[in-house]
Amino acid sequence: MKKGVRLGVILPVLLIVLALLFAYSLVVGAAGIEISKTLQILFTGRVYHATPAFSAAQHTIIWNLRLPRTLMALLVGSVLAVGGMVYQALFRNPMADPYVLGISSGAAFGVALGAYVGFLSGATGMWEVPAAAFGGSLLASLLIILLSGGTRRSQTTLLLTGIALNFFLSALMTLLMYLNRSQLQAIMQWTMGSFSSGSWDKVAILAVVSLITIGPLVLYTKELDILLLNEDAALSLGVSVKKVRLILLLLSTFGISVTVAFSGVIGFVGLMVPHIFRLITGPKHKNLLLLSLVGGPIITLASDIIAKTAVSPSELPVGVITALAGTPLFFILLVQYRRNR
Amino acid sequence: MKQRNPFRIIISLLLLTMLVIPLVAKGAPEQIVEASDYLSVIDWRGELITLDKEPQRIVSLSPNVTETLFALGLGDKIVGRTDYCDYPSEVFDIVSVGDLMTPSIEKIISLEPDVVIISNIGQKETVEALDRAHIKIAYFDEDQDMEGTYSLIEKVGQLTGTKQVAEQLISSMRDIVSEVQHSNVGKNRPTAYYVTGFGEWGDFTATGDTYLHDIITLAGADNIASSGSGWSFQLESLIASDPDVIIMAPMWGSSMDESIEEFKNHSFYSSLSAVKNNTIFGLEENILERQGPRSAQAVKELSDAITALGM
Repeated sequence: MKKGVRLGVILPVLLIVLALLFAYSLVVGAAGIEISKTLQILFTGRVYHATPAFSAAQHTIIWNLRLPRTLMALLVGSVLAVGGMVYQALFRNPMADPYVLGISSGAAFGVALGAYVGFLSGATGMWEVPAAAFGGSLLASLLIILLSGGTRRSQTTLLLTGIALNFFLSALMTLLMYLNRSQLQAIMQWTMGSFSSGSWDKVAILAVVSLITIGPLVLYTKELDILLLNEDAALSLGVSVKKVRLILLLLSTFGISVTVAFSGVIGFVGLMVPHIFRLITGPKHKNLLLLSLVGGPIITLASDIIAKTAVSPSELPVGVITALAGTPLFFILLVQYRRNR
Repeated sequence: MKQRNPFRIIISLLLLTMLVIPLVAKGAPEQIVEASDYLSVIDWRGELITLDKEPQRIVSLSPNVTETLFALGLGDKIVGRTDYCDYPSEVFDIVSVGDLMTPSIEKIISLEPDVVIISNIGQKETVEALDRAHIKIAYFDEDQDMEGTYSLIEKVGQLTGTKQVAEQLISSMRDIVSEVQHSNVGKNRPTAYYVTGFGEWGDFTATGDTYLHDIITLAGADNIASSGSGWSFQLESLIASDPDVIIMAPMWGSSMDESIEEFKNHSFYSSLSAVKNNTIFGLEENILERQGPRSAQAVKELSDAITALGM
């Protein structure tokens, strides 16, 4: 396949789209605050001083609800898209997505188990649910990595172990929910993904986590390119395959676990975004990393805007929208992929 | 040109017909069938259900139907209930046939009921399964408002031969509701919000399309979520509307007090006037959410609770 569009053309376009979506996400919402007022509120800063121009409630909505929610969607989108890119390279499998190592089913299982043992209830505070989800996903992924012999064995073993344990954990979660029906609806809702509980604390944590997990990748883009070829080539080129693979695997898994803990399961972003850009600009990871970093948030922000506006003042789960929009896009890509073979 | 396979065409046609049949069959639930009002009723499917004699063995598959049967004096005729039928306390002497989603069809059949009654709280699949087993089943899916409650009671009364008792019950319920409305005449209608989910789980409430919305309205308050649908409501709408009162349903796994405490302490809600002024209270959700004989009482209790806050 030819390298179609140059990075210098597509990246600025994407950045503009992202900026527009970011601004629109701050302006649009069920509370119906005028654009001029929204801007005024943004420029006054985070602390509210009594003013006739706008109410305290409006200030809270912009500064404590819309802004953190938008930033959370942005950060989650980046981590998911970049995580997908890394997984697809590590597993040398185009179908590998950020949840393949049991992260989503582990998180859902963690939440279901937390509810079952009484650690979680319908009235738990801000941190218990993310803690249960994070614990579940991290445990599941580490278990998969250990069970499959880590990175010593082939990627296929790791992938298959992941898929098998995914099914097992999903079944276990369903069983727990079945045993305690009153929790079923809340947990189901949670798994479908949402940015509605975005807060500044979470944004701060996500920002640090994104830096830790995405930052080092800048140093490894060449290794990712080589890993995609095959391990022998990688070895002969002097890449310490096992070490690089383990570092990248752990970093991505950690990053994605945190996003799942905060926003639930948001599917297809990590699968779709890297593929889209691979088709457009080719498989070089230096480009892919930048593009995924910007492309992921475009998808999550656009999806969240739809989630907020489609049935306003009610709300749709974001995960449903990414999957609904993602599946047709994915089919188109698959057809395209076949044609190019 | 390709040779056409006649089998393929036949199979396609068959498949097409299979697709169309359910559409036609389910087209019109309202058939024009005349029912007398003694031991006979047309249920939601348009099915005429007639009993030969007053039913001696009734299985109720919905908590509100169970409450209705007791209110009509038929408690001793109930031979089966669900796990969720918990009022009045006498129900616990009755055998349960399982939960709302998947009651045991075998168990129901073994109870040899004269009739099975189910409301929209139950599952349509159960109705079909019992139909196939030739068990007489009445399925009531009434409107999601107070009139729907009256209609349910009336129909259960007709079917079970207790129409007069049902009419008395309905008229006393109407009296309670109109009394509440009289007492609220001239008062300011406070705005209200009903919490069924909050915080990390997302914000859920009695939106305009729910039965509870009608109860809140009848109790003399304006539901701020009236334009929402499907129980979901955006947090920023709640903050912007800043309701005068907040009504709390106990969250799963937590007591009412814990639920209220946690809601008040949550940073999302601390700026709400109802939290600051402590105009937030809990009410037992079963009496509020069930369309049954206690619904008028629910309107009164809700109205009283709001009045007690000085609104």
